[in-house]
Amino acid sequence: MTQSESFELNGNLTVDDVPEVRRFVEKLHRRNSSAEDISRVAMATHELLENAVKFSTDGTASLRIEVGASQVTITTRNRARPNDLEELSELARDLTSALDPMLFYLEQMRRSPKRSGGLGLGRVAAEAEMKIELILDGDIVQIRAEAKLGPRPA
Amino acid sequence: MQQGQKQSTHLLATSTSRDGETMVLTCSGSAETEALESLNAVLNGLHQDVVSNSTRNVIADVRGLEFASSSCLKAFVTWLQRVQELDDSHRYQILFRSNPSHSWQRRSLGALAAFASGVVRIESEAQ
Repeated sequence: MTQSESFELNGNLTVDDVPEVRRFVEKLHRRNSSAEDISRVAMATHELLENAVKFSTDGTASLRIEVGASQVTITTRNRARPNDLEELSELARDLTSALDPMLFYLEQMRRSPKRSGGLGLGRVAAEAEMKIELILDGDIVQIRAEAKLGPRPA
Repeated sequence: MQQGQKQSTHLLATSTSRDGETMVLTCSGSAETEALESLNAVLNGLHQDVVSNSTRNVIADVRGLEFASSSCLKAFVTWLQRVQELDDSHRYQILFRSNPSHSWQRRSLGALAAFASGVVRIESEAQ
């Protein structure tokens, strides 16, 4: 993938497909990105797509990755049940209002053994250092995760 | 070193062994979500073994682990929380041996160490 390309995937996907997509994304980025960036983008792709697939009500999900000169945007879309949309909205609201994504992630970890929800979104925000935005349109949920590429502050 | 249990799914391989007073857990391959049940079983078994033998040190060698999904990371979180909840006389220390060439490990293990400070240490060593 060159520094202004995009990659898009739509269709019937299962959780078993997600590792294959992650590996494909790693391979695409290998030409132009640092190992650190590849690792962040691949992990975020895995977590966001796995969520989209798991919560899809019709078995379909879509993924789009856009890579610019110094920025990457990953977008997933799927249809979801009202209860899941509500939980996701609450999670996204808490995450975007958190002062420190890492502290939010650690709090998610503390609560996780007693909750059914996963750590995926918190992990993307804290470990991959991505800004997350949730857009709802009826029963369609779109997650947009954006990050700067290049050397990270120590 | 005494060999313990070995488990392997399509992508994740784990083994446990005893080296003197230390239990060693080795994970390699890829901890995809489909391996969650197997990983939970390994960590539960290890925890019970360590507690019943009053072992104070565990080495978790993940140098060969290429990736872990957040579901599998949650299995480690649950394990660490169980260790934190032990009383002082049973609580044990965990040393994660990480691989610097897998950059996800620095971030994910760093988060685990922040979560369970006082229980987890990380040692970075190329394989």
